[in-house]
Amino acid sequence: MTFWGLSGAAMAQLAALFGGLVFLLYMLKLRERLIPVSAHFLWDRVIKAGQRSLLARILRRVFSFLLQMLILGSVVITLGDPRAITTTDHPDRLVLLLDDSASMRARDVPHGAKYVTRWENAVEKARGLILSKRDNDEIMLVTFSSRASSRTSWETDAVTLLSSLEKLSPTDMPGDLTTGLTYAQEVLSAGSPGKVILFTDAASEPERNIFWGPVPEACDVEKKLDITGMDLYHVPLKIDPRGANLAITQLAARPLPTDPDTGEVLFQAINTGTSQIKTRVDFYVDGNWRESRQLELVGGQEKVFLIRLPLVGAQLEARLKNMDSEVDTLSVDDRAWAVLPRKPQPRMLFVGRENLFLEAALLLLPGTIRKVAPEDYRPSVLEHCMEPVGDPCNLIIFNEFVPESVPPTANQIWVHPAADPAARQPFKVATRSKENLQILWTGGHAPHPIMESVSMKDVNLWGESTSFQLAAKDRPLMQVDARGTVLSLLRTMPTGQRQVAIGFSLQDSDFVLQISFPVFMLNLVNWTMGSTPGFTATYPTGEPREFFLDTNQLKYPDGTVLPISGAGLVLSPPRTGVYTFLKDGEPVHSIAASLLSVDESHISPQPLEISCRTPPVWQSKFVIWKATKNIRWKPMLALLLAGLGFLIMGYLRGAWGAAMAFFGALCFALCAVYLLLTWGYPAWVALMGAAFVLLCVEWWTYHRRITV
Amino acid sequence: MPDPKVYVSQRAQLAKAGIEESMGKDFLSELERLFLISRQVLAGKLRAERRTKKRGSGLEFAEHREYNMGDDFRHIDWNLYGRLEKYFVRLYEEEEDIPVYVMFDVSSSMLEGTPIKAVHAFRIAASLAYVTLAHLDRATMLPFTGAMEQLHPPGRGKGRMFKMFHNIRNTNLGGVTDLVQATRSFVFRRPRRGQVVLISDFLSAEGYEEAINLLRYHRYRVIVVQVLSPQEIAPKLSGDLELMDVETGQTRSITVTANLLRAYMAELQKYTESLRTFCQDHAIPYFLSPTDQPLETLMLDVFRKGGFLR
Repeated sequence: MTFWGLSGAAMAQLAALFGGLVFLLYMLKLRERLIPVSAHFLWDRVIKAGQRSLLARILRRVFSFLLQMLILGSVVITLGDPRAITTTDHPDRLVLLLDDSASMRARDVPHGAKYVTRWENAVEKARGLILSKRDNDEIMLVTFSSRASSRTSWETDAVTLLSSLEKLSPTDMPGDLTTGLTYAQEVLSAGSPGKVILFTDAASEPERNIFWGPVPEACDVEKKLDITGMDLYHVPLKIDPRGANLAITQLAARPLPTDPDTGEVLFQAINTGTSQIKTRVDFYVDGNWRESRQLELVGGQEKVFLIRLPLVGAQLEARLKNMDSEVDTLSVDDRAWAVLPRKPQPRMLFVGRENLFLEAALLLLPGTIRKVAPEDYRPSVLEHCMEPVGDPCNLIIFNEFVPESVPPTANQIWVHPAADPAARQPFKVATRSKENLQILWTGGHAPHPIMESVSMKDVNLWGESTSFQLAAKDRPLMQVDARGTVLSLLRTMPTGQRQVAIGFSLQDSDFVLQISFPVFMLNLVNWTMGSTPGFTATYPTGEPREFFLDTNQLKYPDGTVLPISGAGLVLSPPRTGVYTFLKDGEPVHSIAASLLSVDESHISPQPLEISCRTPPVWQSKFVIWKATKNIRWKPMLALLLAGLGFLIMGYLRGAWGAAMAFFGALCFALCAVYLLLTWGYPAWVALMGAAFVLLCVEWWTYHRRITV
Repeated sequence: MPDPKVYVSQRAQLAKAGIEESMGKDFLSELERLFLISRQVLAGKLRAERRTKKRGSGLEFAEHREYNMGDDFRHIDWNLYGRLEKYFVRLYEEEEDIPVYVMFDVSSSMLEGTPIKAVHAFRIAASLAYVTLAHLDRATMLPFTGAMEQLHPPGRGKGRMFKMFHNIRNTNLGGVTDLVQATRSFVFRRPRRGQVVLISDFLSAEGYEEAINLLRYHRYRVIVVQVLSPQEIAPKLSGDLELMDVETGQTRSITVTANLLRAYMAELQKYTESLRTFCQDHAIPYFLSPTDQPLETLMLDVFRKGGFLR
């Protein structure tokens, strides 16, 4: 037997408080009015005639009190929500499935005069369960948010379990009950059957993809989980929806193409509460304040805006600050980070035939450009992009010229390399053509960033053109037809260099005359330089991402550095903040992770329904019963108080007292029936029933003058 | 729980206030009216003078008695001697006033009820005394609880009322009823034989028989007036109570139910019935007077049923 509702101390306090009250009322009831009489001897004669035995007299005086104490005991134990988990003789196997998602950090669980987090409340309940286990019961601690993992093996030692439990902490990831239950199911699939005890705040959208029974085919959901036969218990948390929650749901930044030092920041926030809140959002770049904006959000409102900021730095951070008296119970979603995109600072080397259109377009771009005739080209010219000194070039544009050796460093743009037939082609040529061609495909509905705002629809090619054969990991940029005649491709070298090949001469096309040509060149240079024109968004926590980087260490937001091995790494950021990949201690790449989950930021507990969309597959056998329906606490509390009031008035003498006591019993009966219909059939229902029956017995015996 | 002594003292003050109020002008007017009523009721039957059984030298022939040594020769009925040849003397009724002793109970038990029984008893006693005095007889009012320390002799004339009122004012109310002691102390002082009106609730565990018999044995004509309050006749009690005997302070916890109330009322009925039967058996006029009964009704009953001022 364990109690999932009130703690033992709280139950004892309640019992002491109300027990004292009952005792006081009983003493008041026993307090007899003093009536002076002159015919005392007559009363004596009458009483002696109807005298009962001493035992009967003693019993009848305490019977009513005992009944009342029993009723009180039943009610207090009911509030404790007793569960007969260890009722069998066989040892139990329990999976304690703890929700460690971000919403569990919300500090809205009343604990005395203060509030504790949902996680602390869940841990306290789990601790109670562990302490009540029998010696041979096996327990496994499993946590789940976006992903689930075992935190212990099957343990029988309560000390080990408690030690592991204390080490756990909630993550910053959104919750996914399906993941947790799937994991628990897998854990229990081996070995003897066991029970799953679920500790969650149910602060997420109702699960639509978990089914009790066969999964209906009509149910169109991504993951379908059939938990038939799973002995599942839900331990609800005593959440007091005292405040609101403000959350950042989007943060992204991009540099302005023409002004890399200025960026455009996309910001979105939501008020998941019900009341209007004034808030302020502060933007910081590398920890330095840059800008603030005030927002006023009514309940449920989402607000998005774009703001231009000077973005000279590596990290952008947005912080929400509540300016109202409303309490923001969850703080993890009040901060979001974004790693600012690298600003392209191209140091270009133009090698090849003169092309005024091309050169003019390049002159519009930020950065420097050096022009070298083909005959003057040496690999050494790359070392100093600005003669005689300067940094090495990082972008080479070969216009209809192919050097003897392809430079091993620097990104490259090759414009019609096949125009130099004598040279060894850096890209495998498929066909050559001298026909007039039109470019019909530039990425379809999802064009490459290079083709952003660029149209090749009316471009005519009349000179010689070359189509390329795609190598592995090459990506087509432009195609003449649907058969795959590739006129332009993109290639990323293993060393990280980027190459772009264009299979036609710009001079032999009217593309250079198009107004989109400078935009194309801007996009081309930006992409080749490794800069994307779009927003660099922050990564949602818990979402797995694949990284192919030459690194050997990963630095977490809290400063912890973990070694990593291999080029490929899948990272599901568990915490919000900035993660840095290091190579021998030097930063190579950074990513930012933020919660950014509207569902997770809706921290109000939702009805924990596990069903298909239509029809709901709800069965009484299902043991997740506690939070299946919204209990209307206020009317029920009012009914209980009215019942208590009526019962107290039931101490009045005569018919009025009887009527009041009857109404009191009726109020309690209505509460019991309401709860019975609303919740289910757990143990406390029997207790409430017993309390009600005892109440009726007490009422009946009292008013029949049996117990007095 | 209040102290019984304090409680009794409070009730006594209330009763005294009630009695004092009854001694006012209004009550005296009421008494005068009662006297007029009594004149109408008793007209033709009674005169101001009372005949006693004492044989003496009056004018009214009473009976014959055999001559004994020492009798006055003048009273020998010679006509009868002529017929019977035996000496008989003629006896005449002696005319004299008969004193009326109105004894009323002022013990603690009489301080109960609304109206207070002691006040009611006083009003009855005062009425009877006044009517007696107005009929030119002697009367006195004797409040009692136990043994009487003083016995104010009966007086004559309406003006006597004020002296009696003065005596009553100085009387302490409350105490344990002891009818036997009261009557014993009365008869031991050997007052003139006459009529004794005994007004009490007679609610005593020791009973009333001995007290009444004591008066009877000493040849007093007794009239019994039992005073009960409506709260005693039909108590409106319920629930858990602690009953306190106002005289002894003894308590008892009871839970009053309808059945218990019925049993109590039956017991009271039985008790009063036994008193009535006792009085009937001994030719003692008995009157039950609830305190809510108008005084006039009782007086008419007393006058009509006879026994008083015979």
